[in-house]
Amino acid sequence: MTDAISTFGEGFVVVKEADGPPSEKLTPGEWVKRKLFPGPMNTIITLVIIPIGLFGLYRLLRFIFVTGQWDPVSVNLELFMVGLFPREERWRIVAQAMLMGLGLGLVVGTLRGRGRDVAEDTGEEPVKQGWRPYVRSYWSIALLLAVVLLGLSRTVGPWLVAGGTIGLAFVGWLVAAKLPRGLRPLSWTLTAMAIVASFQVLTGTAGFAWFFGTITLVPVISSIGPRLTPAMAEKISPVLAGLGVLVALYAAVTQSTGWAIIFGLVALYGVVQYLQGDRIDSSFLGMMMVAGLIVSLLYGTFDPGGVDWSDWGGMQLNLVATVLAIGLAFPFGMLLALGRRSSLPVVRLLSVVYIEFFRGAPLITFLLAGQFFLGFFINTDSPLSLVTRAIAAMTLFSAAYVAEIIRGGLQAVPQGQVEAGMASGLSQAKITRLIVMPQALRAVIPAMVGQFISLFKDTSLLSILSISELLDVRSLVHAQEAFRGRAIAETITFVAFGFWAFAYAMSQESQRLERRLGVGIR
Amino acid sequence: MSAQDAAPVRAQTVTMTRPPFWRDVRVLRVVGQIAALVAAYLTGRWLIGNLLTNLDEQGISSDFGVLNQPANFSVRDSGFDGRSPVFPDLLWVGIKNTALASGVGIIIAVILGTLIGIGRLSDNWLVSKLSQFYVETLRNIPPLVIITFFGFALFTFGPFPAFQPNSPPTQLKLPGSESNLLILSKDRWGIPSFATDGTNTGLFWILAALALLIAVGVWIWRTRVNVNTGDPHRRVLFSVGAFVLLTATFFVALGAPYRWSWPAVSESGRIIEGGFATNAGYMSVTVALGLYTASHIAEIIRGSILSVQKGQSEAANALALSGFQRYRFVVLPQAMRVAIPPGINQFLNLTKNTSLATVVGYPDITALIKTSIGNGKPAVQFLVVLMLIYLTFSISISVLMNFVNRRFQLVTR
Repeated sequence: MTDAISTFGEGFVVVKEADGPPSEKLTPGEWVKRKLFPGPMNTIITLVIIPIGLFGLYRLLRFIFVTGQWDPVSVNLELFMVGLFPREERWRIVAQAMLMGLGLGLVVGTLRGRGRDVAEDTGEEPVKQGWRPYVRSYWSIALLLAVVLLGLSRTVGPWLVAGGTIGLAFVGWLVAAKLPRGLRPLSWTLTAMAIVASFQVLTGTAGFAWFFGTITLVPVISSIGPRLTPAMAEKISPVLAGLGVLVALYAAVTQSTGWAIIFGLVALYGVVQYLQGDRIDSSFLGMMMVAGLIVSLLYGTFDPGGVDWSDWGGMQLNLVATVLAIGLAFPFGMLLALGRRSSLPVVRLLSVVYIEFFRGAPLITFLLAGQFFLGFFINTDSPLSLVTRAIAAMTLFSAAYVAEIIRGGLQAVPQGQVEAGMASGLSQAKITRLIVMPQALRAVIPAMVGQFISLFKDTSLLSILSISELLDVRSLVHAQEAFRGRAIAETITFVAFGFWAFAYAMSQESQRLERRLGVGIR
Repeated sequence: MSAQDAAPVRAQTVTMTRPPFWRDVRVLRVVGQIAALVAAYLTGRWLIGNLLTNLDEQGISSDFGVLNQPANFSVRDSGFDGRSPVFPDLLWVGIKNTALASGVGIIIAVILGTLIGIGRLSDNWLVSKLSQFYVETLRNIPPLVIITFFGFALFTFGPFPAFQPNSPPTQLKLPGSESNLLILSKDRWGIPSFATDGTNTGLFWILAALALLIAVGVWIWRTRVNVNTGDPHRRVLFSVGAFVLLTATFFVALGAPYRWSWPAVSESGRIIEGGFATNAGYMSVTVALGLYTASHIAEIIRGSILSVQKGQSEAANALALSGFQRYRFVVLPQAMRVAIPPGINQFLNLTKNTSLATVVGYPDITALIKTSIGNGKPAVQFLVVLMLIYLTFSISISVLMNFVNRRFQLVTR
């Protein structure tokens, strides 16, 4: 592996491949003899496989280029990509794609920059990372893009979107990589904001716009937090803690009880932190509360409108639903994992019951519950849309799996780390937050990517609820007069290819990360 | 001397002051747990209360008695009658169908997965690349898409003839006879099976069980001979031989209680008579999930074989074991230990994935519950029962898995 130096940030284990025997150079003749006909048995197998394989390849190529009727796909390409998204709101999708591209570019650029910082600190030569690993990971998505653009698209629109996204990704990468070192945290902030804002532009479903608006501010605030001097924190934290309590009270008066409880708990935690003398944390929480209030008021006043979830569809919905469900399940799963390893029997029992319940039954049962009665558990002013309920069910379901993954990571952190924290006089909460969690989370990155893939594949189940995601678009297409009962295999093949491209890229990426982070090697 | 020394020591003893109760860990632990319980209880009560109120408002029953009302729909190929109650009749049909699909699916997955897993490690470049291609393709496509492909592209809209009087299904005859080996059509397949007129079958099964017992006895006897005298035990040969011989003898002696039954197209040309008839939904679910899970099992098998250190193989070579013996006695026993827990997990996943059968109309438990809800039965009770069924199954498998795991784990000091 030539990309042995981790550009992922400081502290990542750098894995270098052990020196093996030098690889022999085989002449083509030797290669054929060694790799295809190593013995009598293998000779027979090879001779049987070659004709069968060639025939299979011939049939496949014939299906793709000659017999396959791909017009249902090319005519309905838009439907497959974005579903029944309202035509006049298409700009939101374009904006989201561009922002996602920018965000991804910034992430890669920042990682590259941090890798350079690490190399500078350790005095090592920064290792040039070639493009090969990226090609190995992402060729399947590139292939999908090529098929869609070259083979199926009939207008210039997809070209413009793809070109713009890739261009912005390049710009983001360039900007982040060239930023001077002191501005690195800022570029993280920009990264997170670009990605989160992309959802915000798109959603517009009131509750979620508010939510994303608040989350956008997390990186900003968390990059301010550590810059506070203790003296400053001492001055502003009582004010902020007090403001936090006021926000909670305000929520209790104006919003629903549920929000008031959540706000109240956060405010309570802030006050406890304040009383325990953790001024900076307390300030952070206070700032979050106030920011949340301001954002919610702003959204209430301006109401940017938007597209209801029920109008989403196509591959777009599969990707967004996966990101949302994993993102929302992550904090929840982390709490469950901590609960399952807690020394308090009651907390442990509650966590175990939750985890085993959701892992015991298939996702479809929870999705059906979401379809039929999940909305009845909470009182909302207007009924939640089907997609929202489905994503909620997926979130509850994935939280259990995420919890088990994180538990695995927690178990991998040596006990000595906790003991060292105790010896330093840290509180239990601080040991978990500052010592155990970061190590555990790093160890579970590949497994989390695996869970992401599995959830992405599971979004196909939304079609059983007649939500028009990628697989369900098929039934919409075959309901059209021109394609009724025709080209069935073609549409399914295209859908399978769409799922495959993303899942394959992510699985390659997770293997790359696994090698790179040295998980399982230490 | 000791008395003099004792006094200053006692004077230096640190007097233990109890911390205030809000910093006392013992108190905090109890308080924390009570708080967690109360919070869980309040949340639960709030949620359930909302649910019951909302159900009442919608006029939906929240009573579990509905399970004993008639189902009002019939299930294809099962003899289930719409007038029978949902519980237990409908659930029984559903569980049976789920078990049938997952059982056969697991067999397909294990056989294919093992072959492909070993294939990926083959010296033969073609074999290993083809296996890799299989794994990387199937593993990254959602099982629901694969089931849909089989159900719609291969069967419903596929190349097979429809099963109708004017378009008879393809019938593959046994060479040189009129019996059908296989009947192929869009929605029904027939394969040969056994039939009986009911005479002596009970007796035959009792005698077969007896033969099995004797075979086990022979196994134990041969093991003992091997332990005591060092002679080769040959217990597989002896006990399987005993079992086959005895069963065959009983079978003939009882006048062949079972005979082959060949599938045939009925007079009306609409159904299959004789043999074992199965529908396209079942075929799609079983084969699709078998193929999908095989890709996961192949990875597990490959990983487990790679996890056996190379030195083990080399040691086996040094002992002049043959290639087969090396696998049978050195590599596989160690690989199995690694492969069994994730393997059983895959069986569990396959069983849970049979719940996707509803897209191809195979009446597994989930599909039946979904149909019941679609027929106006209250969703809450039905889905709770469904979840509990899966949960019972998963938990019993986990318990079994823990047992197997303990049995296979390396005994360490």
